[in-house]
Amino acid sequence: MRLFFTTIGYAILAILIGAVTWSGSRVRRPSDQASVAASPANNSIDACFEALWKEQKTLPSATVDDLTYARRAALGIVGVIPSLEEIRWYEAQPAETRREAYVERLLADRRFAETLADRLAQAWLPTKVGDNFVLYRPFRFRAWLTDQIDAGVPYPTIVRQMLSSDGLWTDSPAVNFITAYGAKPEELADETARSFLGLQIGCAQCHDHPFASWKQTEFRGLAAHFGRTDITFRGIDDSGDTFRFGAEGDAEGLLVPAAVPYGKNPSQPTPNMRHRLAQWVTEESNDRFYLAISNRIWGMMMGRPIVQPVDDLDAPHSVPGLLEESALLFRQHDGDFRSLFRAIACSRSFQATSSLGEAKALESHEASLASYPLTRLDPMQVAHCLSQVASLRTLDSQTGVVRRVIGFFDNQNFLEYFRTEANDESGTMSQRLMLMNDKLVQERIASALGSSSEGISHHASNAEQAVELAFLVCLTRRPHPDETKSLASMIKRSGDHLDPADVEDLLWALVNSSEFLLRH
Amino acid sequence: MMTRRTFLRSTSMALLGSAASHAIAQAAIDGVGRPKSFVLIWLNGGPSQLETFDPHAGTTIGGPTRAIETSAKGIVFAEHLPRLAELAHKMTILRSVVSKEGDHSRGQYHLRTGFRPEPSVFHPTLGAIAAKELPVVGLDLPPYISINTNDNYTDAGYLGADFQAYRIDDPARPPRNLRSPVADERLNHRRQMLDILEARHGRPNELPEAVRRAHQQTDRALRMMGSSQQSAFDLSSESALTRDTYGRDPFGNGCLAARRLLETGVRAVEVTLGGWDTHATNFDAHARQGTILDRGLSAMLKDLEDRELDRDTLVVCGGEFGRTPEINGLDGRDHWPYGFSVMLAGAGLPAGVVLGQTDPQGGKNPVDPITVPDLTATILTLLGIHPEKEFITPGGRPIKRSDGKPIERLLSSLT
Repeated sequence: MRLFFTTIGYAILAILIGAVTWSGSRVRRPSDQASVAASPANNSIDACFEALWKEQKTLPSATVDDLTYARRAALGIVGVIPSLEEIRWYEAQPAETRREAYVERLLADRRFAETLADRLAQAWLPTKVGDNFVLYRPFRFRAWLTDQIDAGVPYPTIVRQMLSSDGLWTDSPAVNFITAYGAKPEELADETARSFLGLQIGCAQCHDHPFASWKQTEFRGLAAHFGRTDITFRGIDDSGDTFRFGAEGDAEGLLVPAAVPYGKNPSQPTPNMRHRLAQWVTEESNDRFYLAISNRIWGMMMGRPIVQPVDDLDAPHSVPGLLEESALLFRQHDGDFRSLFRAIACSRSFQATSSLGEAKALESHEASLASYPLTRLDPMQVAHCLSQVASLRTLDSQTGVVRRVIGFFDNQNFLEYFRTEANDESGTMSQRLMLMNDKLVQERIASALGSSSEGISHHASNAEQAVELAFLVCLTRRPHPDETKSLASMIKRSGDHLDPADVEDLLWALVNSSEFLLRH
Repeated sequence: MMTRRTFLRSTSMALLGSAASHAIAQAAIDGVGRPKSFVLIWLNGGPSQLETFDPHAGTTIGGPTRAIETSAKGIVFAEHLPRLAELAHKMTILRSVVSKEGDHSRGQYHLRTGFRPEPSVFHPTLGAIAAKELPVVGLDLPPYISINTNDNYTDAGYLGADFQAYRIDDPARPPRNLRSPVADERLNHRRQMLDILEARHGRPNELPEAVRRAHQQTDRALRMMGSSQQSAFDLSSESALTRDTYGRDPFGNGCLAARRLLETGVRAVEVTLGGWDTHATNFDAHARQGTILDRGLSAMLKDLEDRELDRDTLVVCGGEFGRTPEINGLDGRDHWPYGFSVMLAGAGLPAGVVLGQTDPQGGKNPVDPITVPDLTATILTLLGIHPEKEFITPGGRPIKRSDGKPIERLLSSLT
C-alpha cells in the first residue's frame, strides 16, 4: 500500500520535474512570446494611466513576460509565489488566454480568501490586543471573514455586519471588531473612519485637526453612534447608558448627539444608532467607502497604494482619477472583491516591467506607476514563500492536514521572530540573519523526503536541469544561459543522482537573493 | 528644602558659566569632539518615583518606604537603591518629568521617541536616531542594540529598517543566527552561488535602490557573522567576580553586555528591566526589582568610569510614567504621568544635581515640570545631535528630531 502511494508520488514528481508531461511526450518549451491580459472593464482604468503618462511625457515600460506576470499575480492574489505545479499548469495554457486563466484560477483558490482576510484583519484590528483579549477572538474573526470572502459576500454587507451585529464574540464572529476595541466609542470611531473611509479624524479626538478640516465636534458626533454599545453577558448590544465625553473622576462629561461627519444623516426608522452608522458608512453614495477599499487593494496588487498612507484619502493621489474609476467599477459589481482584483490584474500598469534587471532609469517611472514598483515582500509573504519553496506541489487547502498544521505553526514561529511591530517591510539585521542561518529556513531547503531539494537532486537528469528547476521553484523564472553555466558547474554528481548538499546550497542562495525578497 | 538647595547650586553654576563649559555644550550641539554613545536603562511598566529616586518618607504618600542618604549632599534615594546612592554624586536626577500619556504602550512610545503616537507616521526611537546620526568607525555589529526588550517599541519608523534595533532576548547566550549552520567551506560555496545571482542585476552604481539596499544588508550580515567583535556578546570571558557584581539575572547580564558593546563601539544600547507595573503589592515588587536594578546599573556605571567611557557615554534610566502618590486598596500604586523621575549620568552632565520637585501631598503639579519632548531634546543635545534638524519621511513630510527645547540650565553647566 505504502509502496503504491510512493510510486504515485514519484510519478507526479517526475511529471513536475519535467521528465515527462501529462501525455507522456517531452516537455514543450513554451514560447517566450508574452501574452497580455485584457478585459473590457479595463478601458476606463487604463485611460487614467494613459492620461497621466501623456501629461508627464512618460512612456510606460514594456510588458512583462509570462512568468514574471504569474509571480506578480500570485503574490498579489494569494500572497505567495507560484508552485512548480502551478507553473507547469500555467505554461500548458494557450498563450493568448494564459494570464486571464491563471488569474481566474487564483481568484477561485481558497488561499485568495485566506490572504485577503489576513490582510484586512491586519488593517482593521488592533496590533496589540491589550486588555480586551477575553472578549476578542481574532482567529474566529479571520475564519468568518475568510468564509465571507470565499462565498463572494459583497464588501458592504461584510462591513455592515461588523458594525451592526449583536451577540457573543464566540458565536457571532463579526462582533469581534467591536470587542477588539473594548466597545469604546472613541476608539471605534477613530477606527471606523480610518479603516473604512480613509479618514484621519482621530486627531480630532483631543483637538481640532491641525491641517485637515475635521473638528472635535464632528469626531464626537461620529463616536456617539457607539454611545450605547455595551458588552454584557449576552455579548454586544446597545442597551448601555449613553456615553459621555471627557467623563473622568468628578467630571460629568458631555452628551453629544450622534451625527455623521459629512454627507446626510441616514433617515432610517431604526432607533439603533449603530445600525444607522453602518447604513451610512456602506451606502452606495458614500464615495470614501469605495475609494478606501480600492486604494487598499491597489496596494496589495502593486506593493504600493495609490494614496499613501493607505488610510488617508486626503493625501495626494499618485494617479489622478484611478481610485474613482476603480471605486465605480467595484460598485457596479456590487462590491465583489474579485472584480477589482481582476481589473487590476488586467491593467497596463500591473503588466509593466519593473526596474529589476532593467535600466535604473525605470525607477523614476515608479511614481506614476509607468513601471511596476520594486518593493520588498512583507514578512507574511516571506514566510509563505519559504514554505512554498520547500514543496514542488502547491501548498493549499488540498495539502494534507498534518502538513498544513505543521506549516501553520512553523509560519507563526517564523513570523513571531521575523516580524516587527510597526514596520511592515522586511530588511532588518535580525531578518537577514534569520534568512541566512535560522533552523526554520534551513529545514525548508533541506533535503528531506518529499522536499523540493530531494525532488530536484534525485529526479533532475543533470545539473543544468537542476538549476532550471531551482530557479522556477524560487524565482518563478528560468535561468539565463550564463547563470546556468556558472551554477551548474557548482553542482556535483553523487552516485546516480546529484549531490543533495549542492542543491540545498543553491536553494539557500536563491532564497537569500535580492530577487527572491522583492516584488518586481 | 534639600532639592531646592541643589537646584540653586546648579543654577549658580550656570550663572558663573565658565567659558569652558559653554564650549563643551556648543561642541555637543555642533557635534564636534569624540562621538558619544547612548545607554537607555528602560524600566518597563512604569516604576514608582516614590520607591526609587524620589522618596517622600514619613508622608502619607510615602508609604512604608524609607529614604537613605546618598553620596550627594542633600539628595536621598529610596532604601532599595543603596549602591546607586553611593554614586549619586555622579548623577543628575530629574524629579519632575510630566507626560501626556497614561497608557502603557502610548506612554512607552512617547518616552522612547519623544512624540505621541499618530496613526499616519511611526517615529524613530532615540536609539534609532543615535544610530543614524552618530558616526561609527570599524563597527561590524549593528549600531543600535536592544537587550531584553520583549515587544517594546524599538522601531526606526521613517528612518527605515537599517536603524531598527537589533534585539537580544537572552544576553547570557550568544544571539540567535549569528553563526551559519554549515561549515565555512560550505558557506563559501553558498556565497559564491549568491554572488553569481546578484551579479545579474548589473554594476553597483546602476542598481535600483531596493536592490542596492538588499546587497548592503547582506554584506553587513555576512560581515557581522565573520567578525571577531562577536566576542562582545560572550559574557563567559568575564571573571566570576564581575558576573556576580552585575548579578547573574537577565538585567545584570544585560548591563554587562551593554558595557562590552559600548567598548566595541556600538552607539546605542538599551537594557530593559520590567516588573514595575505594580497595581497591587507595590512595595514588595519595588523592593525586589529595585535590588536587581541597583546591582546591575551601579556595576555598569562604575565600570564605565573605570574605563574612562563615562564622559562619552550618556546613561538614561526611566520608564513610561511614574506611579500614583495615593496607595490603592491592594497596596498598589496606579499610573501617574504627572511628575516622575528620570536619572541621567555621564556625558559631562553636572553631577549630584536634582531638577524639579514633586508635591509631598501628592498634587499633580510638580515644581519646574520637564515635558517629555524637552527631555528628549536634552538627551539628543547631550549626544551631540541637533534636535531641531528635520528628517523627511518617505511620505515627504518634514519632522524635527524632537519638538522640545533642551533644558538650558543643564546644558549651560556641562563640565
